[in-house]
Amino acid sequence: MTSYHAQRRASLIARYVLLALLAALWLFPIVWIVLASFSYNDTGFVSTIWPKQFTLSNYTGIFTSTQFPFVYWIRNTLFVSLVSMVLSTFVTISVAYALSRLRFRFRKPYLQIALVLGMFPGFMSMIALYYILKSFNMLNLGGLILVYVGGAGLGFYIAKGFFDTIPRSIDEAAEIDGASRWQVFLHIGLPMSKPIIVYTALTAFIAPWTDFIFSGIILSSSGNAKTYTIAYGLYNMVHATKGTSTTYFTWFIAGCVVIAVPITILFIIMQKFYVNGITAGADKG
Amino acid sequence: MVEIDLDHLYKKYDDGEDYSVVDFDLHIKDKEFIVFVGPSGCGKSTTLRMIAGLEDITKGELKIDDKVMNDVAPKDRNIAMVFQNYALYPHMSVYDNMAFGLKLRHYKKEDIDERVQNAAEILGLKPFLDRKPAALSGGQRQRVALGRAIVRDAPIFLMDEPLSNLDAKLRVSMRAEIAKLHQRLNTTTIYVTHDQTEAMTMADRVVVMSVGHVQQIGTPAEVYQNPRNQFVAGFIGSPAMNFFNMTYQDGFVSDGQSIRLKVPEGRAKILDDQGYNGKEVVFGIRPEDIHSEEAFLETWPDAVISSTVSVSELLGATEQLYLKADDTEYVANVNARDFHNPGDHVKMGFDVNKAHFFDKDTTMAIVAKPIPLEG
Repeated sequence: MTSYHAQRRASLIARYVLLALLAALWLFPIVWIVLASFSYNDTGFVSTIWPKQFTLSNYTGIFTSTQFPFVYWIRNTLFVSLVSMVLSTFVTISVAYALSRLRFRFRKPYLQIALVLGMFPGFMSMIALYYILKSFNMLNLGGLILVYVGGAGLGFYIAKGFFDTIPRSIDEAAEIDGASRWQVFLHIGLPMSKPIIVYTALTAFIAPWTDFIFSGIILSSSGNAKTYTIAYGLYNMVHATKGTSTTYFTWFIAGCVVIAVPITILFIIMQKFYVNGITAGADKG
Repeated sequence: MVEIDLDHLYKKYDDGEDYSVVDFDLHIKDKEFIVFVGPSGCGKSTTLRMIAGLEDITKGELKIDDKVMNDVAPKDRNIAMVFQNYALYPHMSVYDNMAFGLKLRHYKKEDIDERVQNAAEILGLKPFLDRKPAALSGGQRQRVALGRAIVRDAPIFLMDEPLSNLDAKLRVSMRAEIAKLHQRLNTTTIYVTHDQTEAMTMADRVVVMSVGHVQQIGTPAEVYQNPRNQFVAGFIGSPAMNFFNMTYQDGFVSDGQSIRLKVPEGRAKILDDQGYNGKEVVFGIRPEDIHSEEAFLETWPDAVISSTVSVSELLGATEQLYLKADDTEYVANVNARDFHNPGDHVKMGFDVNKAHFFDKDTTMAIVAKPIPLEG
């Protein structure tokens, strides 16, 4: 019979081994991509994990290429992502707040409809969206923003869950203090909701930043590479040069790493707002 | 000057089948301290929230200074409210918590500062003005909530169980503080609590409620001494009044077993006059009206019951005895000198002069002249 102490130790070791294994599995592709982006290669696919020769030429290549307007792609994507982030966050937070705080006749049916609608993947509508946007002559970045923001009204569930945890009596206290509904939202609801706003903004930024499906169908018909977003542009870079596609493979990898940089920076900046217990002290306890 | 009229108020929630508040009728005088008391779910908080404007009034009229307020927004009713869970703004400092309402009402900066400093002085919050609520203790948070109400200088204070989240000791000291505050500010106050001690100690008048109905309105002494019905008798007073189902017959009440007590002549006449002879009544007696001193037992031999002690709790000056006489259990509060151990057989004297009689069916008190709902 082993002692309880030894048992605990064994179980702990087993758990850490498992976690380490999972971490390694998870990190491997990332490490590989970063390494590959620095490897010198002119024959296509990278066959070694550790580059035989380090180089920055993949990065300089994509940024200076005249054939593939990489800088335009980044600029377009940044524009689309930032605008949709601001608009989507506003829409999502407003919808969530209203559904959490106000009681109106259509509230329950709306919650149910939203839940059911949310079960269908967004790209199911891509053909319809394509024709609708085409008829409005909006197969461009503006149309793309419209598509991203249009879905924001359905993504309120997490934010609503957060608002539900803020005691209603705080709203009521503010109301008695003389605040209108809007003032309650502005002075009480919003400042207390920083974590969820940050979360919503992050997801609202990342989705358009990495989206390939919608940018692909909406922007493809222009034929002008300068109007592409980065995901579609990169795909196009490897795809459009069939036969020699492997030539650009390391460029493609470098492009992927560049995409990850803004998201990482954004996350690092915003995670300090990710504080828990923002409502601590409002209530008893 | 502010008077509040609750004119036959009713409340029914959209999803509820029954009324949560039924026919609440009360006139509150200027500067009065009114306490709504009752067990949870009796409609006391709902009534308070109707006065605050946080709940719609289903039927009836709410008047403040003769103006109908049913359809006036909470912020325009000129009331201040303290919530059970404090409801402080967690992202604001103590100072800003108190100043928030004033800022919304566009008070001048100097005026706000003066009022907040003043309230902080009264409540002993000066050292904490820069702190966030999270960095305060429960008692301090409750003080901030009070401060937020004070600074507004509103003529009406509503308090919804403000002390129920505090520990026992703090509750007693805050109770005194609120009472002092009321004497100082003289604001018309409506205070909701489920704690009858708070109601008894603080109120000018108490409104006892049960399942949506007002049971009795009166001064603490009135509801304690002359409860209108069995509910009020059982709810007001701690420990609660003992009730015995007894039969009244020719000047005696008896439970058919070992309890048989002589009813004093005056009380017996009332029972006779109202035709209770030979009928069952509910006999109520407060634990403090049951004695174990020799002197009492000798003076009132007709009021002595032999009992067994099941539990005895020494509370310091007094001792609480849980007794059993055959199948009937009751509680007595006796002097700690007359200490008894569980299992002891004791003789207990019932002060029947102070007993209450209630109709078994209507639960109303049997008295010479019916006690009015509002005393």
